[in-house]
Amino acid sequence: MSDITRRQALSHLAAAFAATAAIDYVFAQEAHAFVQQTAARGPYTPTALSPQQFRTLERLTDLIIPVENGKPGAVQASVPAWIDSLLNVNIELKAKYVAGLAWLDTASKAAGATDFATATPAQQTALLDQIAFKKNASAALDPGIEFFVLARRMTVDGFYTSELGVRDILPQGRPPMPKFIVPQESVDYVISRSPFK
Amino acid sequence: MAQVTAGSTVHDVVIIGSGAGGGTVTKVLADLGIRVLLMEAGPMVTMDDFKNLASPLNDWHRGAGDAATLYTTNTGAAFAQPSVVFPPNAVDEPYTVAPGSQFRWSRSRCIGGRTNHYSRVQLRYSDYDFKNKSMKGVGFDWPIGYADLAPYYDKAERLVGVTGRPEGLRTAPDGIFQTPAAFKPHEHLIYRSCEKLGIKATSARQAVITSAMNGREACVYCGQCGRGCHGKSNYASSYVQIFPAMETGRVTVLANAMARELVTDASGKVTAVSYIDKTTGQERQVRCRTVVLAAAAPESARLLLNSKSPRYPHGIGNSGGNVGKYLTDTVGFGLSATVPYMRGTPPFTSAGYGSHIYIPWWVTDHSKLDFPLGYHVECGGGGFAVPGLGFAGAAYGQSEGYGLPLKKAIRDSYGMGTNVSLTGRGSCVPNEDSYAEIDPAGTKDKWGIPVLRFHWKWSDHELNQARHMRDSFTAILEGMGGVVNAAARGGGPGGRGVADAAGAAGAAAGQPNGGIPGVAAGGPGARGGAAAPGATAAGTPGAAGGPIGTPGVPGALGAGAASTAQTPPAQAADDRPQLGAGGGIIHEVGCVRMGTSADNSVVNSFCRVHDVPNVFSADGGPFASHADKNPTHTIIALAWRTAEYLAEELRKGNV
Repeated sequence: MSDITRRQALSHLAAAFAATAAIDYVFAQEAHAFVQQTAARGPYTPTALSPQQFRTLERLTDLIIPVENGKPGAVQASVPAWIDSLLNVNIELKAKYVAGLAWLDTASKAAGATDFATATPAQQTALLDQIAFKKNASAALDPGIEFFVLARRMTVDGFYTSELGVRDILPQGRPPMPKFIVPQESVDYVISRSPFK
Repeated sequence: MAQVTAGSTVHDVVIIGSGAGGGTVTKVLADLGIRVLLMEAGPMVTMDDFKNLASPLNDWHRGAGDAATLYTTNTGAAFAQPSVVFPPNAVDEPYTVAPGSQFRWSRSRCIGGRTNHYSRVQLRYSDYDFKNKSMKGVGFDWPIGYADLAPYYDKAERLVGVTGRPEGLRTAPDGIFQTPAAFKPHEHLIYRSCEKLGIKATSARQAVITSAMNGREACVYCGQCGRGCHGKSNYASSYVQIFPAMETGRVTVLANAMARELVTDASGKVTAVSYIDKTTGQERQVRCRTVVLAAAAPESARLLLNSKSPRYPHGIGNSGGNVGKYLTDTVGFGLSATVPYMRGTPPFTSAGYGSHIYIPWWVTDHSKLDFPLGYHVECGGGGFAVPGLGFAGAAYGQSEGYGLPLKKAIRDSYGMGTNVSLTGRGSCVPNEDSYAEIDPAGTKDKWGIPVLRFHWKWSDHELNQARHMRDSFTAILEGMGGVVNAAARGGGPGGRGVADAAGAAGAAAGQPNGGIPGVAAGGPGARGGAAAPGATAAGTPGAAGGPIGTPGVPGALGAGAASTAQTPPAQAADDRPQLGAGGGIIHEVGCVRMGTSADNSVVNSFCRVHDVPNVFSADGGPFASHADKNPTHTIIALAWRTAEYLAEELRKGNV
């Protein structure tokens, strides 16, 4: 990730973690450590996209899977870098992103911004509120909707297959386990709702 | 390999096939100091081939493909496939199916064969399973009984490791058990629902070790048994038997060697095995004092039938016309239900070693039933799979949007938490209409070796049994508050999907419980990502390209193609479930049956061919009848007994 984004991510996470519930504490520590490790490896240099296009992608993925309550989002999980590396091996895919990111910029300009990445959050979400829903289909929006479907799919894939993202839904990940443990709360949850309670 | 060309070394024992039977004979003989040559029709494998701990993160593209084609043409990498399935090319190595029959033959050609990926259900036969004729009035008695094999089940369990809980059930004899893993939440529901119905469920009996032993690591519960196990925590003949046996220096492995026929001398004894070196296409011979058939029941029958000579015009061991006869498989029927209140179960790492519960057959008095032999039930469901690419498609497909609502939608839909499935595995009574023969149309494989043609027919015994499965599964699932999924028009092949790659399929995980979606990780009943509604959890793993050989012979019905030409097994008004193709459960045994004479069988009580005493059988071929129990455990025990007998006969100079 770029320098600016990394600093943003760190401060963003730090702020988010400060407000985190205790149950997320260990996870937050790990996430923080992970982001620091990523930072230590140095900034990601886009290979398929230009720096400007990459900044646009970062902002887009951050909006699709944002930081939430101490849990990292797509940018912290390096999803933009993963997508960029895929674009680098697939010309057709890259063309879709180049065109789609340009469409975001054009639409943002029409709304009064310089481009999508530097638009205000309100301008950004106003645009996504149109293209993230197929019910808004129209000749004018269709290119944006089509691109968003692709970008959302890849952002979700990249996030939940990452070391950080998987923990959003499966807190323990899938570590080798010396003993198979079923949390009593999981058993109780099911039994208490069953005919056998 | 110079030592295997004709005219060189005479090997004391040549073993043909390296699965559960061949692996067991190899290990037992090598440990007894006997030198063996192990022939395998596929390649050698190494521990690097077993990728049970693989995750999307192993590849930089995480499964999208080296050219990221998942996102342009929807063709991702082969990550979701079992790592150790080597199906033969169906064009090179076909088989045919007779008109009116349906049969699927799953083969995996590599060291370890199907044991590398099978579902590891490891059950002892019961006493009555050896005596169906005298105790149940159907099928055949084996010339041996439970007491003959019990010591060998013990030995197998000490080597292989089998989980379980002693229950004292006649229908499910106890063994020497590894401590079983805990039940998962939905398994508690199955247990309690069965309890209310007077049915005893118990811990799954899986060929998995939960404590380290014999240089093997304890299970780490990754749920990907279908990929083989890098820690050797489950059983595969490759890493549990063959690799250790090779370390003795007494085992020569001859891989990529496709046996063509057994060569006999004037006295009628087998003196050599003729085979095709698949790497060169050349025919060669290896000389032997004795030969052990362990190529899988139908393949061993094929070899015997193809070994024709003036002395044996109908093939070796076939003076009574019994080779290929009474082929059996397992009755398979699956039913699943949605249990709505399971939604929201607090997530946990749920993969385990597949299913941790199973239901042994619970009826001992069959007088009120309209079928003679029982079944057991393998269970799937629940679980929180580790995400792979595309796992959340349903969530964002339905909710659209972005941001926190999208994250919530994905979180809410995560897991297969509301699905519970039951998969019946029933005993099949041997019948005259189910058998294998050399294809009368003259079809040959790539090397000119005549291929098999299969005949298959289910009888009322199996169809009535499947109806009982449907009724009992409905009671169990509804008893826990489940809504049985429609589409249970019979459950097809009982849970192994159409493209079952050697069962392989898979396995897992889909495991129902927790593997990576789409990854067949092993586990009973746990294959495949999403089972079709009504179909069992044991669906195939979505692995493409099963080892199903659809012959490219005009007019010949391939396994896969046979469905359209099938004779309906039941009347239109019949309320019984339709059953899938024979062989579909991948438990094909029989064809080289054990009996008291060449008139009624091929081999004797020590699995020695009646007609040619230096030929032995060590796969599923000798099974005179087929219990509901999955056959692997009995194949190992029987092969162990045969190997010890063979060693003693060699020592005495009787072969």
